[in-house]
Amino acid sequence: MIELTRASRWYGQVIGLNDVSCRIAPGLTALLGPNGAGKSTLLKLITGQLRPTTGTVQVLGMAPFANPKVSRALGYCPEIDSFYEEMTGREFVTMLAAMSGLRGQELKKRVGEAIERVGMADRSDRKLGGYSKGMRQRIKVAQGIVHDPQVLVLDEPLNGLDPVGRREMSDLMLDFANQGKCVFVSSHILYEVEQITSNILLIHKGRLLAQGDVHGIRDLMDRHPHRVAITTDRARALAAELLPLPSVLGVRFDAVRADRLEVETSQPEQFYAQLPQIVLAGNFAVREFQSPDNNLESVFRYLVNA
Amino acid sequence: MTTRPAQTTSSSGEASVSQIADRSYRGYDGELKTRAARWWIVALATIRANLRKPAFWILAGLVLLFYVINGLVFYFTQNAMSQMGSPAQKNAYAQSLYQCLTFVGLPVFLTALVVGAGSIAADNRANALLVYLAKPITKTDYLLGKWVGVFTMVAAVSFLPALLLYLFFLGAYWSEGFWKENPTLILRLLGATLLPALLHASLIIGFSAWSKRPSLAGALYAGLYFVTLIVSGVAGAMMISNAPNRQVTTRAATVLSLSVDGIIRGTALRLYNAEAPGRQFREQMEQPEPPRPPLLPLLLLSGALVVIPLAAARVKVRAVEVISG
Repeated sequence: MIELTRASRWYGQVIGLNDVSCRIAPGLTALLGPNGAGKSTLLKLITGQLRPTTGTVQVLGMAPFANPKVSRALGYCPEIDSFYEEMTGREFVTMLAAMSGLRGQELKKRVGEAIERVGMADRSDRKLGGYSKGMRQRIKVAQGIVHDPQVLVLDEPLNGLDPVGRREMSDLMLDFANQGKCVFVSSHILYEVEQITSNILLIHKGRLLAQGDVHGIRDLMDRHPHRVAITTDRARALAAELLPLPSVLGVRFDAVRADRLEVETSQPEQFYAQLPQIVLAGNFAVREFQSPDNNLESVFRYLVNA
Repeated sequence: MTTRPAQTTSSSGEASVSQIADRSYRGYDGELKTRAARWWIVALATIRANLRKPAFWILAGLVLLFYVINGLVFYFTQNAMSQMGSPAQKNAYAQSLYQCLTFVGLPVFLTALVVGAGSIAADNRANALLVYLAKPITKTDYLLGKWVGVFTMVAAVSFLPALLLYLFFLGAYWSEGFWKENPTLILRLLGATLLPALLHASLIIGFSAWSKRPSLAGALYAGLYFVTLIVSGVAGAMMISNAPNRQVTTRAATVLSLSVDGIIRGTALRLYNAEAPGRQFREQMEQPEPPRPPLLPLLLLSGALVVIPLAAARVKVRAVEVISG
């Protein structure tokens, strides 16, 4: 649905996005990156508010820059949330829904449904000026989904929401993604992102660092061996069994817990295939087993700090 | 966020509607076609937002009051003159409308500040253009919508009270040949009262687009308005004082009109074919009526003051602030 081919965007002498090529398919994709990485530039290129300096950007097969056909099929929820403070939430959503092409009774109906869906039905007739951060976030999302877009772009939609609100927002995004739509979410709340998708796009200093399934990306990171923590009754004996394996690079013991060891492996799949045989043969009682760095936060840290 | 209604089945096996309302969200498969006048959505939002401002209503009331008072003064003066058998003043209706227009110049200008200063500046400050320009509207639609919104509000304050006074004249003096004597007055009124709206709306939109703070946009426009008024006034006065017999020449009259307020007054003077203020003083001093400024330069200047700010605003209106350097 979204395709960037060698897209770059310069702001005078400053580069916002540097030679990025990627394809974002239907489903939920998270855009990750530290502050100033180029996330907002990428979102603005996709929403057609910026034209790429070089390369191309295609959304639904069309160039999005100043293209009403793309805008009509696209819902955008920006990070900023200070709009017309004198307007009520309903008026705000109605105005933007009218811009998106809804009219008459259908407009009213869709506005009501979108507001209901973001849980703002009882507060939508209050002025935006009196809204909390979370309420603003919800009303922004309402304007983004009101016209039932094919592509939904959300910039930090979880900011300012309480845990229940985050859960509800995550459900909403997943619901859209499950309908076969493209949901592209920029966020730095990695834990929340990890709960809703493993499909990520990571950018840093304007360049694309990685794209795809987070575990797949982790497997490709040879410079950072996978760590596997095992709690067992005979930690040292198990270490002696594991060390000769070609997939094992090293073993460390926990200074506090004598029953815990941490294995470093460069070939996790091979290691995971061999481990059960060794455990069963040695009759080890494995009480706990986890991979502390096979998660989004570790991938993010390793790639950004590389 | 949604509650799926529980599907209940009665003992007879028939599905019945749940007591929990169906609040499930549905996909939209209807047409999404933005109306042809896409700018109207922006204009309507601008008008609605400004209708809530008490300052707008106070200024509109003030302008209306000027016209009502002028209408009453006109009525009683005409009655008194007819009782005394004095001849009717030449071009009295247009003269009265012109006087009102000069009186309400400041409140109309203040209305433009109230309505227009924040029109784009507030959006710039809030980065709201990010949202608007992600919708299927172009920046020309956005700018046109803002301009129409501000123009409509200022025009309503400038034109409607004048129209009211005109209708009063029409009703009260129909039998005295008002219509026969002034068949084009309504058109002249339209031109004279819409020009302030046209100039104020364009200029304030230009300043607003280049600012992130409504107060700054207002202050800049107020600066332009008063500085040009003072400079043209001083320059015109110097030309008059240097002229033989201190006569007001056409050139001096033109220089006196080289300000936003001067253009409005000068054009109205021409359109209403009215007499410049201070007739009694001139009669006492035995001075002739000063010439009116020529219409063409005023119209050309008006055109420039409409086009240049709007072109400048168009350059500035964009979704994101572009970093340079």
